[in-house]
Amino acid sequence: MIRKLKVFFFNLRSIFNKKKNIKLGLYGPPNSGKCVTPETKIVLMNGEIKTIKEIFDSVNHNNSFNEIYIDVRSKNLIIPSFNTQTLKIIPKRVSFVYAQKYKGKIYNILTKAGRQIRVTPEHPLIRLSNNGVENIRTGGLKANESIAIAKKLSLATNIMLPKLITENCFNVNGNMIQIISKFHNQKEIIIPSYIDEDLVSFIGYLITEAYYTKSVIKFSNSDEYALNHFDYLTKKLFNLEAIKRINNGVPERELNSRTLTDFLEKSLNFKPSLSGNKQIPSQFMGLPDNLTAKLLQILFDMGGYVSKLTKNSSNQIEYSTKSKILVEQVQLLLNRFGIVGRFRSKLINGQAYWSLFIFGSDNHRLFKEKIGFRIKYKAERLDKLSKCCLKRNKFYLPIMGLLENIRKQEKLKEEEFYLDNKHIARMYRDNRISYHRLEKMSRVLNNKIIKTLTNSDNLWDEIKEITQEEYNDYIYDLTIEDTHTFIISNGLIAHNTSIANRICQDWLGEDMGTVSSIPHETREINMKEKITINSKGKELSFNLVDTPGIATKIDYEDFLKFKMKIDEAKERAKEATKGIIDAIKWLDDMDCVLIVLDSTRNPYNQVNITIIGNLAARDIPVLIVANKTDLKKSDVKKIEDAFPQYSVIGISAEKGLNMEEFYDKVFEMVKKR
Amino acid sequence: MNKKLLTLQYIPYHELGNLNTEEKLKKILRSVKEDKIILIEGKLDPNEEAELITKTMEEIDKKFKGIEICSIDNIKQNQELFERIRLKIANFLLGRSNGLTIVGPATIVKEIKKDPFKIELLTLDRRKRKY
Repeated sequence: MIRKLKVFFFNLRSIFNKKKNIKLGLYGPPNSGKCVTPETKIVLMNGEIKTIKEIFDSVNHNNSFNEIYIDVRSKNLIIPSFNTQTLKIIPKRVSFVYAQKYKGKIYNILTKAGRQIRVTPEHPLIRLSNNGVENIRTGGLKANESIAIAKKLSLATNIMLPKLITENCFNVNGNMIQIISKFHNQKEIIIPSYIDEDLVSFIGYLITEAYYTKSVIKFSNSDEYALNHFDYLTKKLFNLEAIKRINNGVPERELNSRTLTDFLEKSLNFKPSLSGNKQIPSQFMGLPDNLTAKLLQILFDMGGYVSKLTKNSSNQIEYSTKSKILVEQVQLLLNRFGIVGRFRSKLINGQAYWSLFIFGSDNHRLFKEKIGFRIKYKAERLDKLSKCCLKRNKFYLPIMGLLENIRKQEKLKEEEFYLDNKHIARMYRDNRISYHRLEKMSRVLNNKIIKTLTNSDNLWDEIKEITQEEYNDYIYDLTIEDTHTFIISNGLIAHNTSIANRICQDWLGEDMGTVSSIPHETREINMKEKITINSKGKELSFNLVDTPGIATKIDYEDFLKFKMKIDEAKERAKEATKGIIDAIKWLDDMDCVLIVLDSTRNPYNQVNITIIGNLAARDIPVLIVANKTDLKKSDVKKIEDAFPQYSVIGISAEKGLNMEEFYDKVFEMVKKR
Repeated sequence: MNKKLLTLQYIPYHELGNLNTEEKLKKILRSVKEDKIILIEGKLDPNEEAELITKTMEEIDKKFKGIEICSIDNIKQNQELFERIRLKIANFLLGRSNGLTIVGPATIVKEIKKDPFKIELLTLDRRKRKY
């Protein structure tokens, strides 16, 4: 019996088109997308933060599509990615970008640390449970479960500034430039060629405290050191003298240099913006530690707040701004030093403000050691905070079941394993252990799992709430080589839809790991048109017809094994017979057939050999795809032996193994038609 | 008829050769519904095969659960061209057809394994058969 026979229905007209682009169409069950919504911001290794839609639009040239994959391996799009085995964040290349028209439910996940993501129910996130680290579809997540967010993350950018394109814009004289203007004789300024501590400080001041338009920069602050430092920086970096004023009792510095604002925009991509849109230029997001620390120090000195140490109020370092992206960027910079805070938004006079709260003495000590404050009273408060033992902002790990198994294996008493016997009962009851305790345990116990969890580049953040909404628009996804994860701008780590997984979903109607064991699950013909795959410069556009498995026998009693009532089972059997009759009618229209088999199971139980023979007799090319080759039990040879007359290709949909060869085979098969 | 015995019925080519598709399939299905495993000399063409499955589906009921079907070629794919032509001419002259088809009721035939040139037919344990 064929469990699932999926058929490619090729658009032959386009095979012979002038561009010689083979067009092939693909069809799967509707709304099976595993994607995020267009506004989801992705962190790139070069410091840029782009929405997934921007990434997609930069490579897509197709205006009309329902579903499209684009091969971007040649674009060298590198992003930080989380390895779920080692729990480390490493640079990885994006191999495909994907978009799909989607109508259905969207899940909105909000964590206790204020991380938020909007995803389809099928999109996997990374969960930690008593089973260890696992990918889990969002639809299967519940409140209070723990998902991964980034803790240690280092982006990498170049400290050399890009060569300024001066043509028709600037007059250049050595390292002096002057904007070309019809009306005024603009003042010449010096320009820096690389990013140093001075330039970082100057940009820091502009981000936090300056009013910045196309032609004027105004910096106002009552801190004398900051004013003098600003004067020093403008003179040293650009050879400019700022006009000194007092505005409403606050000292102000004004720079009227169109040349400077143009240089900042063209060289650093630092554009004038209102306070709600302010952001750190991408080149400043991956600087060496000392420059990153300097930038953070300026930002927190000017715009940060440190609470006084009290017993009753929250003790925190806080950074607030009207710009959501800026507060996320500040968190990403803090990730360099392993400092993780919580996002909150609040309305002040009807306007939304975004805050990052850094709680916990561990974070305060790290802040003091790596960044610090120049402003004296802030430095003193931080000193007090970091000396005490504040237990707020703890991230917990819900792994007491896992730890119990380890303890039993190691044959240790509770007191020996958890290092003391305080709070053990509460830890069991709440199924959570603090990082603090786990870190101490990892120093004493020589256990690989505990060491990996404590030395990980991520934290486990609890889900606060999950809400649902109806959605009808495009959804997007990326495929990342090997690690299959990407990080969104608020630090939340999402698992990608591997193209292989996606295709298996289309062909099998479900994930490989969760194939339904009930026979004849697909009992109707589904067709999706105009789906495109771009790979190695070739384009295939196709319609996929998802047919019921063609069987030659149906026994309603088979359904009874799946706890169905007799009437329901009989009805199902009737629908299945009808589905098979319909599927047979489609045979004449098929251009190519791909049969996906589980290589760990007996091939004869999965596919009806008569149907394969029938397709071959009709000259319809057949490709047999042996999936799950990553598993030990996999036996591709057995499938090859079972179908010696047909082309068999082994893949692992889950691990993305051998996918290039698979595509080559599909392209080859289409060419033969 | 004693239903507990396994019945094999051989249908030579000339018995089906002159019938149209509908008659052919009727005859096959009638025998299969009588719980016989039938061996047909020659192969059904792809359309007939598909039609047989369609007809089977239409006739599935509480007692009749479907069929198992398999056919085999006697001309090897990698046989020399001359040899293949010779066999085809001989078959044509002698009114014979290539290959062999086995059709059996699903309640008796559990599985048919096919090596390109060998058919293995596994029947259900007699005690477990559903009549």
